[in-house]
Amino acid sequence: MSRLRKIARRSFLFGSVAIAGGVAFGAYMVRKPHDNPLMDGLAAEEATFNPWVKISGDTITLITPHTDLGQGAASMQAALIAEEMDLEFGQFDTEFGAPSAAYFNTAIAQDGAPFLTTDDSLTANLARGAMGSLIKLLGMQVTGGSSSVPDSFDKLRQAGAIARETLKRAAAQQSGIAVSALKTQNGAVILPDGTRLAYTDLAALAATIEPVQDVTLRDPSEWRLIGKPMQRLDIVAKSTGTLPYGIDLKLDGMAHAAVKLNPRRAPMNGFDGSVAKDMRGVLRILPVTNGVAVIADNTWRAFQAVDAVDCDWGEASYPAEMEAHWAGVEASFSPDRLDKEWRHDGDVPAVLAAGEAIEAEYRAPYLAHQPLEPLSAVVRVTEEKVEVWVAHQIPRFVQSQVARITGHTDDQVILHNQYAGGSFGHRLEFENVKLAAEIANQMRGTPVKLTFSREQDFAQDFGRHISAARGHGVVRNGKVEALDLHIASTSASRSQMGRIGQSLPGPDAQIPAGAWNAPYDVPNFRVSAYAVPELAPVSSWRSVGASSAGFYIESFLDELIHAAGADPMAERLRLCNYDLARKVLEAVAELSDWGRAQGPNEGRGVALVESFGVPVAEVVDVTATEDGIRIDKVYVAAEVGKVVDPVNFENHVQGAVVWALGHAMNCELTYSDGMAEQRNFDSHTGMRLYQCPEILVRGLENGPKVRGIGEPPVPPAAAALANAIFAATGQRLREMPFDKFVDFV
Amino acid sequence: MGGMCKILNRPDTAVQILDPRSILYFTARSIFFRNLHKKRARAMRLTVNGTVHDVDVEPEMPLLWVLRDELATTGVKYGCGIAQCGACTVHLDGQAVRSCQIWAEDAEGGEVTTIEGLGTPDALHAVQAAWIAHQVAQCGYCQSGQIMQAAALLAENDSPSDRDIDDALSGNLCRCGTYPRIRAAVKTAAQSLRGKT
Repeated sequence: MSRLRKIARRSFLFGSVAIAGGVAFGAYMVRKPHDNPLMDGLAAEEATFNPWVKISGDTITLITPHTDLGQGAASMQAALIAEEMDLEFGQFDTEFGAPSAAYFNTAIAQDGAPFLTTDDSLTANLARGAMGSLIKLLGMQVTGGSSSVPDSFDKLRQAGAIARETLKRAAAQQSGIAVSALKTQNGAVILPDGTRLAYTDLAALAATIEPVQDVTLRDPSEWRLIGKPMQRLDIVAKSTGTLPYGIDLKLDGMAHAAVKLNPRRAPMNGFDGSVAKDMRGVLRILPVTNGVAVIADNTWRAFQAVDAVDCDWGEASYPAEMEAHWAGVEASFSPDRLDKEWRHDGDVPAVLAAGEAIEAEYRAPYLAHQPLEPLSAVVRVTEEKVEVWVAHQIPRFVQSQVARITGHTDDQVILHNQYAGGSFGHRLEFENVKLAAEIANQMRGTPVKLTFSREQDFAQDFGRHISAARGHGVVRNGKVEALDLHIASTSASRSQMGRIGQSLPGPDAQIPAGAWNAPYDVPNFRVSAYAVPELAPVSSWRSVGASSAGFYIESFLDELIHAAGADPMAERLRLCNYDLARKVLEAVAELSDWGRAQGPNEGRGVALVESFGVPVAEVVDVTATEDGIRIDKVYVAAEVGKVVDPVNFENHVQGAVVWALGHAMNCELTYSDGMAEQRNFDSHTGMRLYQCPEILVRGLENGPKVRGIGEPPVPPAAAALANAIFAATGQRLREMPFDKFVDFV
Repeated sequence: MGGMCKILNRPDTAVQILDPRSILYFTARSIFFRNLHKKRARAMRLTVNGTVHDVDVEPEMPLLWVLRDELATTGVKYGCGIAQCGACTVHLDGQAVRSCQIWAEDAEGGEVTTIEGLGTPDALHAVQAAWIAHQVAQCGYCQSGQIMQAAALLAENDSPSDRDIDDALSGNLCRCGTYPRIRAAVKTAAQSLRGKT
């Protein structure tokens, strides 16, 4: 087992790719289910049939272990269980549940396997299977990679069906009527004479029965909830100010902490807190990792006091100025930095040498995550245990990170996961939790809430990777003949894993994500990824590698199509070799009425990117006005296998488009003197309401697998916008943010 | 206003600047006078959602933090602290203001309404009902501010044009990008408010 752990640890990777070769686990270890965490502390009269369902004499509780970051994960998970259990919304409570290996993610690893979605070969499936086994053995409970729906879709319906069938068996025992004569409806087992036996009334008896494992899932034609608009469980609370987020929590005797951390993400040489210590409400001033904390009786007083602490910062381990960051990227287009040649169809060098090559270079900057709820965490440390209240995407890692600081065991760290005020990848990191634990550990017995000011949150944000791409292409007879794309990028996966003491085996599949798997039959097609040595620390930012690589491939392809004199939609359709992707292109062409006449100064652009297994095509319409570019309308078609909730789906796709366009328009994180220059929303804004176009959305359900939609609409948007601006103005934008080159109205 | 817009290149900020209660006046004052007030706490009486509270805080403590940390009115959100995001929007005497820019003493004697006072799950304000009907929220963190801003707009103008909605709500940032639904919900709320009168 210890050897197994070692192998597993060494080869584990979150957020992107693969495992090292030679991982062989006994089938027994892989098949054996994890223990049901709901058994801990279960009352005598309470029943649990699996890690997702718990029923007492008066309450049905559904466990929704995927963190709700705003994407509606809690409602989605509950709906899948409720579908099979014949429960209606309003008949159950939900809880995020305690961190547990039982909630390992069955989907995230498989999508990270470095194989095309269309690759159904033995090798590809073995790799997916091996990675899935590894994640299970590690008990990796994680929310991310647009995997909540694919992870949950079968598993939670199964959990609901097991609960239903076990409750029916209990009803059969109680009534003496055969199970086959029983039905379930509306939270109750229904006897042939119409008598209702409420699930809650059956709980005590059901608790004595071994859960029925041999269950049949409902035929899709019988679904009551899936595929129909649902009212999100949190919607009333979020519309009335009554949903408590982590930042809102208040415990008895709680102290409020604020930090001032080295904006160069390096150690602090020293500090002078003499002014701060006399300020009203200040309880303690404590040095913490890379900075100082002030603990006070009120958040604002803590902010004011920590501002008054004078700190002497150490130097950054990365280049102080932005020019050097870009130089580091440019210098990485070299054979010795080649991470992997991900694709090579035809003979690219020969065609490039023979034809007149078209060349272009692109750039994508560092970006901040900055969900609107600033990072916070509440921690209380006592001798026996540590309690943590925080919204986090990797709950079991929170336990281990905190345990390391306080000297407890992982099991002694009790995490109360919270609804998050957004994440976009921000809550995969641990700095807020670790700092709160450091502070609370020095004030044992006192609950401490650490709140990051927006300025601290920006300064400490592990942003999106920085990258650049060089394209070379050849067109002939009105067609794209060769496309050669080289992408050099810092690695979010390596940076992220490095911070938790792990290393990435093999190449980083996120660097070329969205580009190497582009569903096009360009006769000569090569995609190469180059690993830029770490510059500023970076992390997974909504849609990760595809957020930039998707921009590169779809911008450069568009340049080649225009050079060939072809129609951007028609040529993409001609090249498209993947049925599901072609259908999204066709859908977006229809939705946008692609062939319609354009007015003067109008332009439209299209882009298609597959990420997280979901092909998404977008058309952006713009008008070049006297005051700048106006984004008029956006059309989106996405293939997800099954739209679980059409309302939330549309909202989510629209939000992802707003996210992607807003950042492409006006956001970047830049460094000077080793510090991020943007510290608040005045200099890193994103889209505002007046800039928001109408966004029409169509979800397609042609694919065999049910997929998540949180990230996939992000990658095509920037390219579609740049392509539209080119169509309207003839100006090709190759570097984000675009407001460096054009104004937006 | 045109000149102002041009200088700032940011219509949303211009909207706030035109509102003398929200930013121009208070930001200027906080720059010039903050040091004079430091650490001089005093008892103050605030009326929040119809309830009178006695608080003992620094006069320059932002209303945001009085509401959140002293009075546990946590429907009011901290987002940026510099009037850029609008998450902290409350009504002061019926007008939408950024509570991060209002000092405690500025609220003395005034009527403060927060999202909790606008309506409750059992007695929704028309704007909240519309927000629920359209399922606007994703993470929901900005929505208290969005709703308070929209309610203030509709109290003044129950038939807002698209331009009116853009002008009123563009200072409220939504990182999840729920703007299409916000627009639709404002229109639904306007319709329902018109129906009532």
